[in-house]
Amino acid sequence: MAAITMTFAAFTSAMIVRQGSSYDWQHFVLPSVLYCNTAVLLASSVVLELARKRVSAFLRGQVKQRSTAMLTLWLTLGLGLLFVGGQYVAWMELRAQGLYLATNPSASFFYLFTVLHALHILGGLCALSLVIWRFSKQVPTLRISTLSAVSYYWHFMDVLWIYLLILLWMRI
Amino acid sequence: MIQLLLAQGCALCYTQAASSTQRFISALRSGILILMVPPVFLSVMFTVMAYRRRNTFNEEIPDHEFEDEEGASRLRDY
Repeated sequence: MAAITMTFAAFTSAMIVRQGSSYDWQHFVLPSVLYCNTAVLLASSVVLELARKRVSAFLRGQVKQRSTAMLTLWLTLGLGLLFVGGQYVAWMELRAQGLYLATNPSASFFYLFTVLHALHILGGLCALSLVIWRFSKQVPTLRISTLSAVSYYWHFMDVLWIYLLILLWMRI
Repeated sequence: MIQLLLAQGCALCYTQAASSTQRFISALRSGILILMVPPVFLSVMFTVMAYRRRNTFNEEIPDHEFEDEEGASRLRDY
């Protein structure tokens, strides 16, 4: 997470320097679907926190049924996929407006930030799939610490996205 | 001493930056400050975390924390 923070800080720095280096920076309106995606990602974080509590309760033997825990994990995965799908819709909207990766520096940075974040989200979804697979076994081999690590990563992605949205809204 | 500290850096970069517009110099300064934020924040965070957990040790979870033996054995296996 420290490495990811530093990567995005480096790109933020590059964007600010690039914006100040010449007068070719073009501002454009962010696609409105990004705000819906933010809500989806926030919801996924809340659902994952519920899942973490339920899975922990099951693994500690405090709850007998695992179906609700499993359902919340699947719901988190679904919301994560919906977020990535929403980002794809945003890229298509920009494409329809004639804004491509190399159209101007502001569009380049927009694609860079959003694609990099989406790739990290996909990494989180892979980790979440592993959690679901381990938890769905007859005798679950999932460690609580694994789920906690995945959930911290997911919340971090959430915070990172809010930071990126504010940055893009202010600068682009 | 201060002069020696301030002399660190590439002469070519310095000359190029100094000959740029005020707008670019301002952007460069902001960019450098942004790069400083995460390392400072992480250093402070790790220091605070290490200080707060200075008396924490690895301990086995006692069995009476579980409601039943099944849950205890399930967790103990991991």
